Amino acid sequence: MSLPDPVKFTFSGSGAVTPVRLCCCIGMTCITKSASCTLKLHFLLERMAHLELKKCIFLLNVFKLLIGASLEKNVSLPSPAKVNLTCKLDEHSHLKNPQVTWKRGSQTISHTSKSHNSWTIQVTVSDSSHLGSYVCILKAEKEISATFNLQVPKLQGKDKPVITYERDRAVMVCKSDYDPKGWTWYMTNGTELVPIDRILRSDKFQIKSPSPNVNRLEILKLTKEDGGVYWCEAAFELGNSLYKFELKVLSIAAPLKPFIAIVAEVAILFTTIVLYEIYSKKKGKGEFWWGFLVG
Amino acid sequence: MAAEAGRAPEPPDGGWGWVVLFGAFVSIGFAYAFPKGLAIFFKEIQDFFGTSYSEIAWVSSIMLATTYGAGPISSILVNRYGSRPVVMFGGLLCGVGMISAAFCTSILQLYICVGFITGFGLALNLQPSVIIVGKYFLKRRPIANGLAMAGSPVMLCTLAPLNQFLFDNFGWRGSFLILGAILLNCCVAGALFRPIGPGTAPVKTQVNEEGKDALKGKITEDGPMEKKIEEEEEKDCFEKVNQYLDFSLFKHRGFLIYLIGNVLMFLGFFAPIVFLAPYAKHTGIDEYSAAFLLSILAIVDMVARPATGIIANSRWVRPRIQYFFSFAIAFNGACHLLCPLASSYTGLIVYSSFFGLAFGMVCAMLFETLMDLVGAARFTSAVGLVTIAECCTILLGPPIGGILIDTFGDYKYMFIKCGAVMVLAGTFLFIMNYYNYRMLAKEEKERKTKEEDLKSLRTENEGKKNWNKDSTEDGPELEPLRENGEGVKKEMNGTNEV
Repeated sequence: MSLPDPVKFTFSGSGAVTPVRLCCCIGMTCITKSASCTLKLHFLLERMAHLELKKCIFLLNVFKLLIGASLEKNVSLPSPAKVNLTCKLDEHSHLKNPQVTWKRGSQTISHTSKSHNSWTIQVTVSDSSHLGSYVCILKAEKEISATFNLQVPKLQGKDKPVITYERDRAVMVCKSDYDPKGWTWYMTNGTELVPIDRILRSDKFQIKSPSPNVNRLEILKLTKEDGGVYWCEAAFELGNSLYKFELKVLSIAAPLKPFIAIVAEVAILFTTIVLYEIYSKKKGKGEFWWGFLVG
Repeated sequence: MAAEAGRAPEPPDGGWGWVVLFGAFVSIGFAYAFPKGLAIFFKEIQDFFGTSYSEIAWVSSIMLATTYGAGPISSILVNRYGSRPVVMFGGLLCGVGMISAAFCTSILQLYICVGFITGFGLALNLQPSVIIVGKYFLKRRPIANGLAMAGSPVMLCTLAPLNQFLFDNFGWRGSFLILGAILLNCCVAGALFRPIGPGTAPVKTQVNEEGKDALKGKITEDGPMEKKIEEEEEKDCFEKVNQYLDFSLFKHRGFLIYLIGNVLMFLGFFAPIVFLAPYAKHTGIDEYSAAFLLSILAIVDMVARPATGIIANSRWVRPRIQYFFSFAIAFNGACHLLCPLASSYTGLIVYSSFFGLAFGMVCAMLFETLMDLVGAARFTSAVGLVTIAECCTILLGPPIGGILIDTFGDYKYMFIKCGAVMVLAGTFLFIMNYYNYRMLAKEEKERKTKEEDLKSLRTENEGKKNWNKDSTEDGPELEPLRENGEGVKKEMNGTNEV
């Protein structure tokens, strides 16, 4: 199976420009009619479009094999699914009669279907043991391999440290492209991960969920000791996904130093200009009075 | 003696003017670039307060609206106190606004601190800086305007990485605190704005007062003479209002043309910049390359503004500068109309370069053309009235573009709309300025013939000395008054003395 062509897009507009929500259908029905599917476009070397459909049973992936390139593709699976992985050889390639094998680790998998330039396997992912790397190896004059990494969806957050101040509050927002079953937050105690119990310490920690795929941790009344690493964990059917946040708590003095430096610079420049003006006016006034007396 | 001191001195076109130009460069740069530079912080603030994107976007909109909407207030203050104290106060206000924003605990407080207070401070920075450039330069005014307006892209290129650095090291609160201190530098820029000459608005009243004294001194119970004094007093009250904000500009043909053309133009001016990066991402370009397009725009803009100033100052262009301005606007519109044809990354780079060039050309001449039409004296009020009128369309432009994009799902209609509006504005300005130039030439001719008649009549009157003659011309006693009036009128019409 290769990428169906053409792909039909229908728009359901929203008020704002971003985010734009699309509903995509690809020849077979999209599972959720009312909800919107998130469209992701990835551009690989030859700018070929790959589509990931949320909550659709079949995941279609097509690769273009290029000579000499090493290819890797991450496939996010939020829930159990049957996945078709296809390796497709470019028509313009001059490799003749290639031999293609699909492997996972050391185990060879037999093809589900093949044509003169594409080879497909179907993987049934029902639990976490089926996740991992699936490699298609093409042997002809050269050996090319393409890897599919089947994994749980990755989370998004802030990759740079979150900077906050004492007595302020810190907010860490964890996002996912798919809706997980549950969220948990951990703080590090030495090397241990301690889950944050929001009920026990509700005056300090607040966990909110504005939408199913977004989770917020708020830490109130910050102190220096609150700084460190925090983890956000999203539970999916096929496993858990983690994201690391780094929290830095600064004191007020930190930005105050450059602030005072700049204010001092402004004051110095300002005073210099004012003094120069007074000086030149004194000189000028003298001439004016002289001119007035004479002329 | 007093009349001679009352006549406005010739603009220096150099000397301390270059220092003032540097101050204006800094001041204008902050006024235009600061709101754009704040966008880096919005994502973090949005997460912090848990608001939606549109609520955060209001901060920017309020700031922009206040900066343009407070134009008339700025003009009134400059008319009353001069540029220097207004800019210093504006800088202080900006600083206070941002420093207090660092301690905000709700989005509403941010609207007030960042939106209103800082926005108002920037308004008090922008207008007086433009005004004082017009006071210090005449022969080299287009170059001066081009250089002063170049402050905007330069400041933007400086502020963007600086804001990113501050944000990475101090978070948004610390960054606002430090930015508040940086904005205090506008006070320093304002301190450089040494007042020059009394300007011609007070000169008018001074001259009239003199005329009144001269008349009172000569009072001999003469009928026509008393009537003249009453007329002068009535005019004085009206002039008092006009001294603060010159509403008589609305009768000025050139001003009206400029106002209508610009209000139309701003409908399509800013939207393409706002949507350039999203459009690039929509066509599949990654985030960094999309940001690079904006950098290209800024760099070309930076070079285009002084270059346009130099071209506009040349012997061939300066007398017909209004045509050059209309051409720049139409060129801008043409760029947008051709943009949908550019689908590849190279095409977008070409578009960004031409857009940067066109944008710079228009911005460099934005205030120069207004000065050219109304003259340096009335420019103070003119700029205030123009900015508050532009305020509405500036704010409407991007949301209308957004609605178009949402409705049709395609960016090209937004570009077509912007391009069409700007080509229309350019054509309108071109035609109306052609008409205006012709009318000005005609009026000049009429005035010259009138002067010649007056001269011949004066020689007659000197010989006769007959007060009871019912003549439509003024008597010889009012001749010095009239001459001063003529001189003032000439300056106010802003005839080009290249």
